Amino acid sequence: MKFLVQLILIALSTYLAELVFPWWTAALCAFVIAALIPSGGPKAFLSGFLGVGLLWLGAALFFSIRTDYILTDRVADLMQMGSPFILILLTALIGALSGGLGALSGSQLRKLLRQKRKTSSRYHSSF
Amino acid sequence: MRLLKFSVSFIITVIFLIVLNNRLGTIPPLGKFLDPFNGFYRNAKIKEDHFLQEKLALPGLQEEVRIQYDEFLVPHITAANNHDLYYAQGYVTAMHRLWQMELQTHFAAGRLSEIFGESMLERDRLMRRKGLRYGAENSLRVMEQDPEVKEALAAYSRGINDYIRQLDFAELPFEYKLLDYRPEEWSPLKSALLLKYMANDLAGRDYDLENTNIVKLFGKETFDLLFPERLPNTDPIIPEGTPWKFKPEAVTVPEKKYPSLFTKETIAKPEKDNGSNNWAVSGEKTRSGNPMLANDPHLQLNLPSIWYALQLTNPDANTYGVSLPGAPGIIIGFNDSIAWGVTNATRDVMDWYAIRFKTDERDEYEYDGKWLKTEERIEKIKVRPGNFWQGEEIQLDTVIYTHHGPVVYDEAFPGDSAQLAYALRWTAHSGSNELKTFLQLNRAHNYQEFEEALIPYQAPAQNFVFASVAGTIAMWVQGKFPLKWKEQGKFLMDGSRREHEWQGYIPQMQNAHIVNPKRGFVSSANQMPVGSGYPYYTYDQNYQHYRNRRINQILAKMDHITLKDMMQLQNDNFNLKAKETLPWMLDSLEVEALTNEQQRAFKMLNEWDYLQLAKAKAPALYEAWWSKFRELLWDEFSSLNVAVIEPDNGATVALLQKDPTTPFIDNRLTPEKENLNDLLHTSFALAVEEIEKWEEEHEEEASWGNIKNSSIKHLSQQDALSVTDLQVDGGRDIVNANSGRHGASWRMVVELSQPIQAFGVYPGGQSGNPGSPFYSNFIESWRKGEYNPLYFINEQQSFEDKIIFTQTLYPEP
Repeated sequence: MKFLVQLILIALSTYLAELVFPWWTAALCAFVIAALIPSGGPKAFLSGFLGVGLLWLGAALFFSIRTDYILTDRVADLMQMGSPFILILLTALIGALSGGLGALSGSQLRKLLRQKRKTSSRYHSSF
Repeated sequence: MRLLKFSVSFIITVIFLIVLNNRLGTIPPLGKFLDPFNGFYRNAKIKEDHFLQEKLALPGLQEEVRIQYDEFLVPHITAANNHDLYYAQGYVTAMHRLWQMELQTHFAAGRLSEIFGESMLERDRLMRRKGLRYGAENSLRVMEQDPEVKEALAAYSRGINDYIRQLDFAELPFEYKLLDYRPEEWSPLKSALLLKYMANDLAGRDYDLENTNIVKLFGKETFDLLFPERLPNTDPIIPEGTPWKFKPEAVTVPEKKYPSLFTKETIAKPEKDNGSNNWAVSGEKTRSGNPMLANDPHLQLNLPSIWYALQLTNPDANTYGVSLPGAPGIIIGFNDSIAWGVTNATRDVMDWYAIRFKTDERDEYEYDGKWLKTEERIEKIKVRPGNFWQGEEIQLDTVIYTHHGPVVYDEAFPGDSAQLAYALRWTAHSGSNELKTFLQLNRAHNYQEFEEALIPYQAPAQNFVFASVAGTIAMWVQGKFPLKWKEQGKFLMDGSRREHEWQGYIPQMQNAHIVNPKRGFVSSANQMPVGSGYPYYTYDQNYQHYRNRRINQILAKMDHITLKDMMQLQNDNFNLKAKETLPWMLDSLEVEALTNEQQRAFKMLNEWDYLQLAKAKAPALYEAWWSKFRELLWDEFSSLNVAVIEPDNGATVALLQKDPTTPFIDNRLTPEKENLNDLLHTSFALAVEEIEKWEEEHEEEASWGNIKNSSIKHLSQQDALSVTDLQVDGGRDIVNANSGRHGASWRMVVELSQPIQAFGVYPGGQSGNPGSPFYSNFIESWRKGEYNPLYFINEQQSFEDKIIFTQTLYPEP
């Protein structure tokens, strides 16, 4: 459940951020959300991977279907992908990796800070 | 441990993002480019996306402007004054064509390396050495002295810049995302560069150095035989026998002694197939009694198209036609009272002067027994690095300027083969105000105003065809033409001798022209401008010899002409050269001696109606035979280690008719002495074999359309953004001049009725965006020779049902 919330939050914040900011804010959003919500490393990665990946997949499909693949076809041809769907999958994968890596870093930052807090409280208690 | 874990994943994330935010080799920046919210997906459009902003506040406007878009995405702009009209033209053109506008001016400025990297370096050097930017700077100075043109240029620039300024990354044209760079600010200099780009394309080719080489190799007598200045059955633009009622300027002829130097390698030249057709017929020859005008400029066919159609209306004038993205006004079109069009008026306006420097420092050169100082222009060419982590490289190229012009050839260019210094004298270098001509034509009401409009026009020289509602038709061969003695500038000249310089220019009013001729029509197709009676020297190596005669033959016969007839003539596929050569070529063959395959080919050619149709095989056979025959005939030229050209088709035919035993017929590589029949036999056998082989290799019929394989290519040369494998009729030296990559870049026919009726089509679409349904939507009609109606909105016809969107631009409060 928490995983799903995290995933949806990452997707939603990425969507909103990308209305204004460049593509790499996807990684930033995943990073922030994963830093705020506690979760294990692999789970965090997966939430970012799926959150941004599915969002990008959906958006790439949406814009392609809406325009009858007019440009997706050309770009797939240009990049020698063979098929527009491979291009869309590559798009999703890049989004997914950005989100996944961002989320992983975020969750590790959280752990790092918590560890520091723990160490420092232990330090205090010894007095 | 946790710190290490965090650091590793954080660093990997950052590296991943940086790498995907940049180009790797020619791979676009994958993250930025594929991002579905801001990357290329956002450039994909449906029709409705082009019609979104009904009201638009713009900072540069003085009053309200209305833009109506018709079903072809042609904008019809109505403004209250000139400033707003050209501002709005700049704004809409940028909206549809920004990348192309910038790229073409980068080409002229020698700045392609900034975008494409080192592969463009030699091309950039050539443009800079030819002095295109130098010419553009000169022209801009002249244009800005003219208040009207200055205002138009400034308003147009402002319109473009106001569009660029409000562009966010998601809306950036596709190509910027693909190639990963951003548009820079537009300026009037860029418009000047665009005009020089056209001058280079249309008047940037000559063969003076090749001529010198040929004379040195074969002697002057042979040269004159192979490259006659006037062919026997020539049919000039201004008909033979037209009287010239003016007192010509005197030209002093000096002792003719040209420098006799071999040039190994000459600079790359613009395409030879750039040409055009235009004509006008008087009311006496038409069914309706109204004059008609037709024009189809032949250029390299690219996407986005070189032309952008629009209508410009203000209280002064109401004009419809095609513009060049990057320059205000309409270049080819019509208004309420007149129509005009252009073809290239080729003539040798580029001459080369051998320069002798005093020392290796090259700061002084010999002239008239004295030493003159040179000027140095250091060209800084920015070269985009191959990888994003490398810095930008700057290549320096020093170009020496003499009073003749820039020293294009020297020890460093082209290649490192030439040890000689040649300066270029070229009409495109001088400051000129061609824009004035077009802006005046846009609002001219009658023949007098047309004539006045032409006065400032210098380069590239054009044949301006004219027709008016009032019933006048006319043709002007207009440009700045140097005053030359016979053969001056046909060869390399001596830069140290004053008498080798141009002695001024032909007075503008003495440029060849004709008004309302008895024959009831005027026409031009890049042929010789004048008959033998014209008192000035008008040499060019490239005058057209077939299209023009075909057009004149048809126009002379035609009567009760309709616009349909005009369209048919523009799409005429009759191969006049084949008609004049094939019968005697076939006669030379001994049919009994042919193989079965050859007999079939013989039969096919014998039955051919000379129509160069894509679906037919005979034209492919004929072209193959003709080119094999030329190869054997002119084998003397192919193995030389200096730059030469071969005689053109017209001259080849003329020579063989005059001297069927010319020694050139003999193939030097064989011990036997060949005669004309041997050559035709051998080339026929080779051609049949070649066609057969082609069919085996391609596994399809060697039809003309398949062999020619026409395409309209995106300016980046990427096939994925181009339209390829088109079946198009016509060919080189044919009225329908489609030779594969070249052809009719705009076809327009106009009836000077009231109101004017017009049709037109170009191989492209109004939008330059490969993701738009308006990107290439005209190509199919163009390919089939069909036309779109040009909705000329005026008081009599509003075409309300054809307008799909109306936009109001208003001054920002």
